[in-house]
Amino acid sequence: MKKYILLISLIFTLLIILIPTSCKLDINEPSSLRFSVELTVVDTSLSDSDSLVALAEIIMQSITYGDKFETVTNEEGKAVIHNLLPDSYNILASGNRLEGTDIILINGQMQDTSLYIDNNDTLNLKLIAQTSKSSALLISEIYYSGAKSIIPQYFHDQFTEIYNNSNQTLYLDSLLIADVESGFINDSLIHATHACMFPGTGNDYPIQPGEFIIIAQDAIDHSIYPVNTVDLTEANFEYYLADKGDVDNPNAANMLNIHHKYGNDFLYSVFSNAIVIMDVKNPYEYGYDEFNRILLHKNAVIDGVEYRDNPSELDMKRLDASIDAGLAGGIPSYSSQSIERYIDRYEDGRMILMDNNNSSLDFHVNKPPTPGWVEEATQ
Amino acid sequence: MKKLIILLSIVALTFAQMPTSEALFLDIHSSLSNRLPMQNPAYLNSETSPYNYAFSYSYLNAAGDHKLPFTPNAKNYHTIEISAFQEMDGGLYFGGRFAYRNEERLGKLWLHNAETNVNVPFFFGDSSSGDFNLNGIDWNIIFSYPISKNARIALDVFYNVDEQFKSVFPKPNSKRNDLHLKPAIALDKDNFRLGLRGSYFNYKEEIETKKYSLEPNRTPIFMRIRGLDRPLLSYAETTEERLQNIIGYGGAMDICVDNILSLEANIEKAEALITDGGAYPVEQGNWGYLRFNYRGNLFLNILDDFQADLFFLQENNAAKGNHPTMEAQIFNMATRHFEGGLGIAYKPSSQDEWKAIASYAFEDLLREDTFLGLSHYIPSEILSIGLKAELRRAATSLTFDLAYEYNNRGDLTEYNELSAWYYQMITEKEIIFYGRDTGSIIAGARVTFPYQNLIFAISGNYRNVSAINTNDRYRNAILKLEMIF
Repeated sequence: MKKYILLISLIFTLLIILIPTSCKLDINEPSSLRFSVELTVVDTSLSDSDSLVALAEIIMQSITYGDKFETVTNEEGKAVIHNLLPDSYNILASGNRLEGTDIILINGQMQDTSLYIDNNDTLNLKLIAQTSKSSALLISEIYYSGAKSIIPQYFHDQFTEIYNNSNQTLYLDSLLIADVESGFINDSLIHATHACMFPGTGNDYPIQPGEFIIIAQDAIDHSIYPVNTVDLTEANFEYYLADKGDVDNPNAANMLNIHHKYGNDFLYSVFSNAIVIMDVKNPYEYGYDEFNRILLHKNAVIDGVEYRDNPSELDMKRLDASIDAGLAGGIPSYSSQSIERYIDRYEDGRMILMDNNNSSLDFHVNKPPTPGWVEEATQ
Repeated sequence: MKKLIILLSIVALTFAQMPTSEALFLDIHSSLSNRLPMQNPAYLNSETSPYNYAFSYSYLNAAGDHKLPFTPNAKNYHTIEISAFQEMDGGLYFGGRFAYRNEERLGKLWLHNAETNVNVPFFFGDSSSGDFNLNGIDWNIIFSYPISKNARIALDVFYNVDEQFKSVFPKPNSKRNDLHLKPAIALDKDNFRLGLRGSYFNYKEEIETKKYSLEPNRTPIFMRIRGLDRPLLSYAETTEERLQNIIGYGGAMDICVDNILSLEANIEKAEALITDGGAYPVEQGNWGYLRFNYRGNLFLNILDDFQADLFFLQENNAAKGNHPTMEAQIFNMATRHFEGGLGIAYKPSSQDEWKAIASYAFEDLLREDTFLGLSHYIPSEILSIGLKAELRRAATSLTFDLAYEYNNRGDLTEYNELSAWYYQMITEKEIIFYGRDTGSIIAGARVTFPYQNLIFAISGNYRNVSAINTNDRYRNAILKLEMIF
């Protein structure tokens, strides 16, 4: 018995002595599920050999985590982004190329795309881009957020600013401004809740190169107490609904009402919407959808801008990449802020506004709104 | 037999056993089996039964700066309990306990989960901190039945239901519903004793936030924490729901030979399934937990009145977390504790015992976020000395213990490339907490005395942990008053 006790005592003593600093572990760098993406932007309007778009700006954003990656494709048309987490991503690509003297815009987007490859490998991703041309007539500023005043939720000071970005006189007669309902990004038709047409028969409302025109919701002075935002008494045009008790400034030409589903005026959503300017021969050609929204063909869009309170929600977009590959906004509601285009350059003293058909790149947030002029801003 | 029981009781009191799952997952520390040798309900018999009836009130207060970020600034727990041990017909022994608890957790950061003490960061919270108030009842019964002259079988049933409210908007409400079953068997023959115990538990926690309208400045940011960084954030939800369902199994064994050698081993495995969304459930991942420990004691009579107690123990915990949709492990945690020591007991009489204990331990903690690629590893060495005494005079007794523990942390190994705001705000603070050298004073005392036909007991336990070279400390104090019939 004593031998057993001695033996056990020995074992215990050894265990106690050996507890031990030698127990410490050697720790290596932890594994992760991060991976890389090699992205190529493909311009399908060209033959295979030239189809990869070089120097395209890439924006990639994780929907869950909000991580934003920005890069540019190299001369071979490839961009590599490292350390991505498995998630659904929104991806934007914007480039351009010269075709003769024309600049062809190349825009592509992938929405809510689930990306993951295991073993920390590199995922090869092709982004198919669409081509479009820069517009001569641009939406240069939209003030949609409304104002914080003692009147709750004031939005009658909304306005849209249009700019002639070309070197030729253009005419607004019979052009259409419409909003765009969500859920139809891949349709050939726009579903519009509101649509208004410029008056005139052809040459009544010219817009000179470098000239701005303002379309107000109500062309009155909103800069006085209690709203304290913008004076729109000098607006060129005004949305006017005679049967809704709307304000009418006789100095501003009234837009013609083509379709008005609801509301007392052509109200832009203070949260998210897309506004397009269109050249439509017959606005009633495609009729209406089942929810009484007028249908307009996308081919008629001259320019379009989409905005959203959270501009990272690219998976919620309404306009495809041929019109607007990005999202402007990020403005709190009723904050008296607008979205406005950057100035790209000056040609012979004439201001050229930025137009990549990608409002994520082309627009910035402006406070206070600047109806009739553009604030110098850096990207 | 009595000598053995006393011996085993001393063993159980001397060395901290593996925390029960109620303590680990629910922060509930009183159970009937805890009052029995080796926490085995089959050891309940007329010799081990501590009393017939007892009423008790206990108060716990814990507060301080040296704490993990999600530990409340202060805890105030009040518990009223009635318990009884009775022998029935045919040798059947019954133990029963019923308790009402009122608990305050003050200044608790973010988390809606009632308890967060398992080191696996899979939580639900919002961007506010505030006070929680909990009301709950728990009961516990044991039936221990002799199947032969030398063997007993037993069943221990524990049930808890409680509800916790946060006073700050969006006023999350956590309801828990918990069951723990422990079947057991014990054999006692010719100075040989063997106990086996099984365990099954199911702890459910349902969290729900208050429904509200989207008013300005009343929009909390909800957080689904799943690892060491990058919680999933959601905004402007009108209500949130989460169900955490922990299911676990375990087993334990204890052996005692000739009052000389005592061995004990426990193993327990648990899995938590987490689902959000109530009627439209969205899985949020799961975590699993495996822990085991073993301990050996060797008792040697070295002189007439002196006995040596040589001991060694090891405790390992390991946890892993899995992604809800990708079949991938995204979190890994492991702790280890090795300890060895020597106790010298001096028994000047059959009524008095003094015992001095010294021990040395090595422990470490590893946490890895294998989704994001983050990790930290912290080893430490712990030196502990203590003194225990038990003095009896007729029906009056006094026991007290005093110990000092010095925890010397080793070098930290940390990988934190690409870490973001949550890591900086929370995980870094956790690493600082785990990485600090600390000195702890642990003291306890219990006095029992007769009064008229009753026995009264007053006991207190105090633990003060001080972070060396700082003013930060954390104290935990428990006061208990008992009236024993």
